[in-house]
Amino acid sequence: MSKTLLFNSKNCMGCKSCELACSFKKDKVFNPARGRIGPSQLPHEANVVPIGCWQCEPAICLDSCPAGAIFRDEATGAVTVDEKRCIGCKTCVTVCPLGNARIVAGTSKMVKCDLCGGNPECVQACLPGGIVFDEPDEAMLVQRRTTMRELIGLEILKGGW
Amino acid sequence: MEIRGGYAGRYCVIDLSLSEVLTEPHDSATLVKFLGGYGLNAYLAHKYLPVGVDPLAPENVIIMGMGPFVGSGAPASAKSVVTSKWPLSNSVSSGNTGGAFGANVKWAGYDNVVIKGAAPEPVLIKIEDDSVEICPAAKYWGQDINQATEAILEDFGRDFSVVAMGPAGENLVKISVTLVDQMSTWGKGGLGAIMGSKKLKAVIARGTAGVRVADPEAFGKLSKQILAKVRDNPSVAKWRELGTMAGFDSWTNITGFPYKNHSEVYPVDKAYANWSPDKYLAFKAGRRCCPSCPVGCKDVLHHEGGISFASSLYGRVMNWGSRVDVADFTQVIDCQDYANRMGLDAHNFTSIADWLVDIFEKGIITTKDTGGYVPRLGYDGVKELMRMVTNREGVGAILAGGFLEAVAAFGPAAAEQAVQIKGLETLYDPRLTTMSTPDFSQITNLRGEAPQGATTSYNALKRPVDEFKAWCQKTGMDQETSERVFANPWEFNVGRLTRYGQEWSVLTNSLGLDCQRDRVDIFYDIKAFEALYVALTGVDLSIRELRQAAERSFNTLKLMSVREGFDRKNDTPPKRWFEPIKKPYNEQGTLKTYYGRPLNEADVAKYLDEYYEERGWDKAKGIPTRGKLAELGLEEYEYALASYEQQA
Repeated sequence: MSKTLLFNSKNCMGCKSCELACSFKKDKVFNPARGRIGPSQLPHEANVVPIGCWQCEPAICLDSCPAGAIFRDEATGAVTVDEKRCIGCKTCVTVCPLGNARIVAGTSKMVKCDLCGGNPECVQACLPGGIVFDEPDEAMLVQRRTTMRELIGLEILKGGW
Repeated sequence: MEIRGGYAGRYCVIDLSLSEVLTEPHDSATLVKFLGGYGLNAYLAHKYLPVGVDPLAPENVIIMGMGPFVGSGAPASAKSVVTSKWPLSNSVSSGNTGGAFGANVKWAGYDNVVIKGAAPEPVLIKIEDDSVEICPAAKYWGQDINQATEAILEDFGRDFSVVAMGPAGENLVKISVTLVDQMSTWGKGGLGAIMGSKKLKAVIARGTAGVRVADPEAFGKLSKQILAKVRDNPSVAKWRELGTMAGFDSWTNITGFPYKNHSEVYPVDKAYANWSPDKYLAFKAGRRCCPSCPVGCKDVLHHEGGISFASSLYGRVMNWGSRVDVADFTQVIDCQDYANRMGLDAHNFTSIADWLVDIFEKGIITTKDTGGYVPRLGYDGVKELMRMVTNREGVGAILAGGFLEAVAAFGPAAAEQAVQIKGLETLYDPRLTTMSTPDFSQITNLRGEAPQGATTSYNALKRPVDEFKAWCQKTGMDQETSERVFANPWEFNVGRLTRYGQEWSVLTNSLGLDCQRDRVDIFYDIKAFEALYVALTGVDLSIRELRQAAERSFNTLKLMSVREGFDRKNDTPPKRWFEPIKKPYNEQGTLKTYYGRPLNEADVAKYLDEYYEERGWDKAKGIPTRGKLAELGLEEYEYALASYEQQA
């Protein structure tokens, strides 16, 4: 399995540095609304749950795109959108159960996490280890497979891509 | 001058009487002159807050400010500032908070929120990008802060940040605060009551426009340099694990918790038995922090099968545990939870309750004065008293007015026992902590107490004088000033140094960068501020200009109280500081300098002279001079001195 973002809600303090680092890297502005990652909500509970793209295999967003605008980056395994091909139909936004395909307000282009080419900015910004960049272990894989099966009946992350 | 980032360049003014919302542009020159946050609030107080208002009248104004760095990803760029005329002190000053509210206001595109007037029915103010609305809030009135916040999030959207007050504020209890997102306190001095008087239940914000940066490459590089220092520091993981309880050993053993109305120190072995860091860890459910903070010190605690937030657990332990004698840790957490929900200020309440029981036990007041009620400390007594204060019942109504009202009600003998400055309790007892800068600043702080006085590292005892010199250097102090502050090279002149401790705090709270907790402040220095400011805004301010802007901002805010008649007579240390305090092992604690020289009243008065002198103020009156105003470009504010002179 290639490296991907792994989330640890016990470590997450809800500082939003990941969202800020992401929007700053991609759009040169500090704006969680333009981040491709984030807890976004900070509940009155013990833990904040960071949410980000699992780079699923198979990826329902990739398979659903009518414009063929979503592809898998060969180097990182990241499910990536080609903005030039995106027609803004929002099919991907609808089908991703985790909300990781997002339309930036005021545009009609989808944006999503692309692992920053292999050195994710969010991970660099996260000191407590709420997000790390690593190969998922078996427990994490089982958890993700189970979740996706229950959410949309899709079998993912069965093997390497 | 062109500002190309950081600042939104506009603010909103909400008139609750007229039910009107205005958006006003900020003049670039003004933004740079006052920097933002604390400084810009002081300017807006001059612009919008009339002289001589009753703090609970519609004419009082609430000014919220978020510096240029708030909402950016610079490490620890979260502090917001609220400025108003406080019910507890009748002075005009500022209070700080963390939480996501300030960041959301900046992401929505405002540098400040100005609230005036009073609504006829309960309302909340909603700031959502370009839309600022006054919304009906009757359904939340009467709810505690947690209930109201959850209900508001359900109705408006869970990604809003919510500043709310509770029943204490609704009942105009002056010892009230608000909570930002059910966690960060804001507005000691009575913000809850001010909002109650305006029928304003909450202010909520959500922003999707973001904060621009003039030079993203430079800004990113500088931020990452700071972050690398944090990452490489071996103590950070421990600080994050224990939060503010990391200071427990130092506070309990070396300093001691004030006990029995500042007459004793809480027994050390009992403190460990009750509240040691190990015991804390059993209650710890999680760690939270302010936006963009890489360290983190906010507490999530197990409480009654659920959780409770606390903005600084060590402070709670000191308040509930020591001041009002609640030994059991579960009960300490429950007391704080209750205070949170009611919107009572834990510091204010525990201090005044401690005093009440002390004067009752001394026979200075009797059941005739308390309406038949026998006040007592400990869990049951204190929960009952909190309920009475929140609802203004019986003697609770007297305590609800804070020290100034309570000493007026109970008389001079009771006043003698009140350890307070300008109507607020002292946070530090310098007979225990020594007379360092946070302790001394309590005398001169505009609202009456710490911790805005100076960085908290100087509560840690026995630091060599070279560390103080290093701190002065990192904050950009020049050689000439250093020679005055360290005239005796083995110690610092606390009167003189306090000016600079205060202004460092003003600078960070104006920029919206860094934090007064030592564990964050050690990663920042004035050179970083200078470099980050130009990278963020495109405006090149020198170190001298940054420091002068902080001086200007402090003087401006001071003038807002001076115009009301505040002067040296209000900068009075409590008499108690000059009496001995009973320490463990039959030791007597007396007032000393940081390095151990005994201090009497004349010594402290001399330090006060030196403080005013260092500020370039009139020593006898303890207020800025016309010459100082001219030096700072504040000629427009001379009316404040004329107003003061009229009252004299």
